[in-house]
Amino acid sequence: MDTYLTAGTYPATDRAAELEWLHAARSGEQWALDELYRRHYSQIYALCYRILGRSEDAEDAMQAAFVHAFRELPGFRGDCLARTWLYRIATNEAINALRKRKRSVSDAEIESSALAPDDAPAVHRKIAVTAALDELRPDHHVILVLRYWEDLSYDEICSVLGLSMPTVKMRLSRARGEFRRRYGDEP
Amino acid sequence: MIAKPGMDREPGSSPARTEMLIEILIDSRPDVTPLAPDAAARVFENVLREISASAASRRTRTGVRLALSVAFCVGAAAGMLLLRSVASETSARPHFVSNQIAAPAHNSGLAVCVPKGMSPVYARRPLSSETAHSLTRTTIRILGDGEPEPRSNCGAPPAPIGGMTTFAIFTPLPDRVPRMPQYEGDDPEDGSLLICVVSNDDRGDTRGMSPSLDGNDIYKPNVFELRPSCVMLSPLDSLATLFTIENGPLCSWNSMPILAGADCSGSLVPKLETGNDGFVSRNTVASCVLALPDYNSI
Repeated sequence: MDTYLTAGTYPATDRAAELEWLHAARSGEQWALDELYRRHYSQIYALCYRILGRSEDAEDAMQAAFVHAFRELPGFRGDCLARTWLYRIATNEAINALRKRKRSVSDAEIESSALAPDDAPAVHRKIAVTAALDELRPDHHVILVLRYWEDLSYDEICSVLGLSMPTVKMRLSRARGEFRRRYGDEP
Repeated sequence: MIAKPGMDREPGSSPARTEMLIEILIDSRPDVTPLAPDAAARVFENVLREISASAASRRTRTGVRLALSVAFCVGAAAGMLLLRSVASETSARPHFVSNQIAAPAHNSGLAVCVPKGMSPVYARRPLSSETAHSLTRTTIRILGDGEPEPRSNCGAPPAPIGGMTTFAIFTPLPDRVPRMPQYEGDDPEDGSLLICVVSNDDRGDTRGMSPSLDGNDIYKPNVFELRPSCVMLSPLDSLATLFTIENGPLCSWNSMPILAGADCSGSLVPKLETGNDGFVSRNTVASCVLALPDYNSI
């Protein structure tokens, strides 16, 4: 997975092109909105899916994220990449969704089983991991997903969550500790 | 698996155990089935639909607010007119004639001079809010009441006030100078007016007014630089401060003929003499203004 979410590591030509169509998107031009969506929806969907664990929820969160993004687009100054900005919005939407519902282990079991029907131990482990993650506080859940499943760097997590580096490190450390307690209790 | 940088151990935990758990976590990363194209298209359509719906809703709300605002303003204006009509019959308002120095109203300490062809205005008449706002940004200071002074902001261009050339002269007695709140409101007749505020303040000035307002200081360049539309006529303790408004923003100092012909020598501006009470008489100020040779061309 490519992980350059910050402007400094983004290829200059892509960055310039992005700024160009972002400008059009801010004006509400349809083709530019389409471009924004087309470029990023799969990543946003994957992020939402990894946080929420259900395709329907991921779709809903993605839709809410893009609605939010299109509304806020005129105020987006382009001081970070569109992808970083979208990650931030989608993460917030996913956190909201997490807070609204408590996902049951049985749901996770169904989807995970469907994904890997022939690997029972792996399925069970995934179920246990998912269950442990779901028991975490949403912000701990999300930061673990961003770090270990989305493979974002610390800098990128800072950008996405809008937090300082020390806060991110502290939160990640606590999230790991909480995860360890939750998962470690599993047989 | 080697821990990533920054992945420190939690206090009291076994590093190996933590690493193992993180490895398990990473290995459990869900495989995401890509969203089907038709599902992606459906989501996009939903997004656009929701955006347009919310925009329409916003327009509706804005329209309702606008309608309510208009209704409120109409009602307020009607009320204001009614009050004014009542007030005009119950108060003895001064009468001003163009191109004359109007007699100050009672003891207001105020004289208003209106150039030829311009509508007479009286400084105590309520001003439009825009004008009042501009005044708060450009006026020097209003003294004598012990209240906080309105801070001028001479560095920022104020909003234009009308297009008239109008004088207003406040002569002596700063404590009689009407304070800003009296200018709040609206001026239905011409909407423009200029005001000037007089000061014999010796407390110094924070906005570029000559610190010592004696006769030698009144034409100091800093007066012009920082108070671009203001000319002080009086060389004495009691001052008359003259503002002009000439077809544009107050701060267009360089292009504004402030008291045409009045240069920094003051030669064209007669000295004002104080009366027995230590203040320049209103008549003196008025005559000085009239004596300016190019007065009518301002």
